[in-house]
Parts: sequence; C-alpha cells; structure tokens
Amino acid sequence: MRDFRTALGAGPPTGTLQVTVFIPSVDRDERPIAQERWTEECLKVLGRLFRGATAFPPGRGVWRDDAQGGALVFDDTVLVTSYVDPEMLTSETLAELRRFFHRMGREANQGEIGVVIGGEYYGIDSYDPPELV
Amino acid sequence: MAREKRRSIQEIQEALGARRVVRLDQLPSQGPLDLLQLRAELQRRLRSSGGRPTDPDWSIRRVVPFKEDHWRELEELAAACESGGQNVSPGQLAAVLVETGLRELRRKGLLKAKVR
Repeated sequence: MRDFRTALGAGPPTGTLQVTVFIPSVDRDERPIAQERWTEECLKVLGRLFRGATAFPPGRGVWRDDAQGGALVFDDTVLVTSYVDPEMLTSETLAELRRFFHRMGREANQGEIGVVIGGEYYGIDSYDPPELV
Repeated sequence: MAREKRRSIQEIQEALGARRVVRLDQLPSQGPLDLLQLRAELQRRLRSSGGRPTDPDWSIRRVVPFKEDHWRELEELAAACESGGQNVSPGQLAAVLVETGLRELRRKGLLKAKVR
C-alpha cells in the first residue's frame, strides 16, 4: 500500500467515518422549507464539531411517509457530508447533532430526518420537545 | 474535546433518538454519495456522436455472462443513473463497474498492469 500521507505531505489520517445528512427541500406535506438556511446551519454544526463539511447540489429524491398512508413525498435533497474521526463521536458531539436533527425535524415539519454514519442509515421520526433541546 | 471509545450502532441510535437503522452494505463505500458519483462519472464519460452515447475509449466488445438477478439489478441501477435525458444501458454501467473494481485492485497493489 502506498504511503499516501508522505506522498501528499499530509498530516495523520483522521477522517475515516463518513457522516452524511439529508437536507430536504419540502416538508411532509410537500410545502417548500428554508432549505438553504438548514443547509447553512448543518454546515456550521458539522464544521464546528468535525472541522469540515461539504454540501452537494440537490438530487431528486422521494420518501414514503408511512404515517400518512404511504404518501410519497418528492423533493430535491441536499446532501451535507463530512469525514470524521470516529473518536470524535463523543457524547457531547452526538448530543449536539441530536439537538440539530430534532430541531430541524420539528421546525421544518419533517416526517423523518435521515443521517448516514459509517455504513448505517439512522432515521429519526419522533422529535424531542423544544424544552429538551 | 475529550476523546472516547468508538461508538456502537446501538449507542449512536440511542444518542440520536433514531427509531430505525438501515445497513448500507450494498454500496462499495457504504455511503449515499456512491450513486451520485457513479452517475457523475457516467455523465462525464458517455459522449454521443450521433448515435447512442458511449465512451470513446471503449474499443473492445465481448459477450459477458450474467446471472438474471444481477442483470436486473444492473438495469435498475442504470435507470437510476439516467440524468438530464441521457440514457445509460446496463452494459455500459457494467463496464464502468468493472473498471472501478480493477482500479480498486490496482490501488491495493493486486494488479501490476496499468488500468485506466
């Protein structure tokens, strides 16, 4: 295996875990939400916690809302991704992620907030009340 | 920031308050960006000179056998990779996936010959 670190003149490898957050463009009733604002907020949270993040241009997406009789909700999803040192997933960083995800889910009227951490998709469809966040 | 042990899936699920967890084993890098990257590579490489878009560097055609269910998966994935009116055939997608696999083997030092 090539020594990429030496070849690139880089520091020690750290970000081995991919964290990706789905930022929807509509709420669960297909009404537009402030996607740009939520994208910026997500970038700020991931940037502060993990040093960096990238938002990718929207891709057409669909989500089945089982709580509303399986209605299909179409939107143009932005993916915000960050490469994270697994050891940086501390109780504090996870708690801050939780606060952001639950606030976005609640305020943007989402059926589900989706985040991929490593090889797992985590779906959050029940949100903490405001007093807890 | 204090460093802690690596978190298990269950610990992350509970910490985030997530009701469901879905494993993404099927994707090579286990991330949702794979499909976007694959689609972008196909868009970049497939060029039309009047007929069906193709990669001008593909100069050899061979008959390759597939299992029926694998071919069906290629058809579904090819349909998902279509974008902006550009059609992608399952065979073209298979060619790109073979090249991706060869690149990965080469990166790991398991292939000596240069593969583009």
